[in-house]
Parts: sequence; C-alpha cells; structure tokens
Amino acid sequence: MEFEEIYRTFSPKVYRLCMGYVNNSDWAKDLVQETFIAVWQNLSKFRNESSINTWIFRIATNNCLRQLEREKRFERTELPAQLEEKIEIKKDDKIDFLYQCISELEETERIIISLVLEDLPQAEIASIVGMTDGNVRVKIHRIKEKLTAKFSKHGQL
Amino acid sequence: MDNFNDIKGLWQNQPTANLPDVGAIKKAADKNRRQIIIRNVWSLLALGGTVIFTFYIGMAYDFKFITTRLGIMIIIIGIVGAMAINSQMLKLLLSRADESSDNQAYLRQLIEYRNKQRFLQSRGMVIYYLLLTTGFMLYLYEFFARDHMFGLKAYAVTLSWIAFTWFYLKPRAIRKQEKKISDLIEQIESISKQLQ
Repeated sequence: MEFEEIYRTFSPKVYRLCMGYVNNSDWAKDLVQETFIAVWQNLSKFRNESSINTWIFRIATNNCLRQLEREKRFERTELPAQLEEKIEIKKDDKIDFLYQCISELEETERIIISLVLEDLPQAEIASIVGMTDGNVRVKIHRIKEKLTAKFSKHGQL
Repeated sequence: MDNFNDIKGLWQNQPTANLPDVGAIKKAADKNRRQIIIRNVWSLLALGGTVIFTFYIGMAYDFKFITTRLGIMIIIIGIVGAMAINSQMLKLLLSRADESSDNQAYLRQLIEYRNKQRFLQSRGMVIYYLLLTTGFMLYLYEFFARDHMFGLKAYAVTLSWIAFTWFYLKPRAIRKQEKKISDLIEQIESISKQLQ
C-alpha cells in the first residue's frame, strides 16, 4: 500500500481517534501529523506481521498515550453546565457532545471506544491495546453502557 | 436515537475534518528528520570541541605540576557529563520505545525508560560531585605547594562551597527531579493498570 493511499484512507479515522482522546481539534490535528510522520518514516519496517490497520492504530494510540509526558499544551475544556438545558441540538453540537462524553472516560477507555466506533473487530482492538480478547469484550461492554448512559442523561438519545 | 448504534452512526457520518494534504505531511517528516540529523551533528561537534578545549587548557598554561592540568580536565569532564545526562541526548541513548508495539507493551517501555533516567540522574549527581571535588583538590594543590597559607584558605573556601551545595542545594534539586519523574511514572502506571 502506498503512503498516499494509506494517508487518504486512515487520516480521517486517526483524526477521529485523536479527537476522542484529546477533544481539541488543533491538538488532534497535531497528533494526526505526528502519527503519519512516524508512519512515513517507518513504512519500510512494516512487514505485514500484523494488518496495516493494527499497525497504524498502534502508532496512533501510542502517540496519544505519550501526550501525558508532554507539557499540557491544551487544557481539556469542561462540559458547560447550560448544555443540559438546550432543547434543540444540531448535528454538529451532537458530535461535540459525543467527543465531550468520550473525553470524560479514562484514557484507555477513550482509545477502545474510538476503535469500536471505527468498527474494528474485537480481536484487532485486543491486539492494539495489548489485552486478552475476553478482557476487551468485557471492557467494551462496560464502556458502551457508560457512554450510552451519559448520552441519555443529557437527553441526547 | 435510542441505542449505541445511533452513536456509532453519528461518529461515522460526521463531516471530515480539514486535514493537511499528504505533501505537507511528507515535508514535515523530512524537516523532522533533518532536525534530528542537525541535532546529532551539533552534539558531536560540542563533544569534540569540549575535548579539544580541555586539552588546550590543560596544556596551554605554564603550570608546574601535572596535578593542576589533571584537575582542570576532571572538572570539565564532570561539567560536560552532567550536561549530557540532563540533555535530550540521554533519551536517544536510553529510550527504545517501539511505537508499533501494543499499548500495554509501549507503556511498559515508557516506564522502563523513566526508571533508567531516574537511576542515572541520581548516580550521575554523585559522580558529578566526586569529579568536581577531586578536580578542585588537584587543581589547588599547586597553589598550596607555593603558598601554604593561601592554599589552605583556597581549600577551605572551595570545600565549604562544595559542602554547602552537597548538603543544601543537591537534596533540593534531587527532590525536584525525583518528584517530576515519579509523578510521570505514577501516571503511566495508572494508565497501564486500566488495561489489566
């Protein structure tokens, strides 16, 4: 697979994953850039030992996790209180709200749920995060419940 | 919307973000690689320059005693060593984190690196003080041999200064460093625990 094709296919997915992790679009764009710089520089080392999906998502998620080692460039914004009172919510607001809900989860939960939302099979998610299939299944179930509950609580479902 | 599938639909049908084109990524990657090469060249130049400078200082002046030259060299080696330990160079040497490993393994590698860094910084500090003290002791010997009174005063002042930094400044610096690294390790560990 050529780099151009990889970038075209995966950059929107990686951006959504990073947005789920940091909930800040500038920061997420930086993370996308860092991820694909690493992909571009290491593409020759990729030997089809895992699928390209797994390989790229591993680089992207590790890059997200590494953010804690850096200075806090952007602070995550807290959920505005008045959001609960909004009656009519447009689609964009709904997406903002979804990212907000995801960003309130634990770090690895944010990663796992973003991978689930990208429709990755459970076995692949397990091999990206380094958990057993069984543990991932349980975890996914719990995160889905948490996220759905957050949505319903704010009247979004 | 009534279940998780609706959330998934929302996620997958969101408008695509305005991301940089592929050319910009490649350009950034090349720039990044160039910067690393330049940094490495500078580190090597700085190291080479220091070695030459050390020998120049050691040889250029007309000191009668070899201990004086040796003292200067040891002091410079100590200072350069301390700078190297605190620089980014250490990361290049110690960090072997493989970005394409799974999250669990990657976090383990990060913790391992921080532990190595902690070990090196605390040991490095002790070695730095030993080198500095030895260096000054040797350096001042020539003055002592020429004029005992002056030499004794110089020894007293130098040793008290080293003692002050060793007993007062060093513990503070170590505590600060220690806290920074253990906070980081703690954070990485808490993320790692989420995956167990």
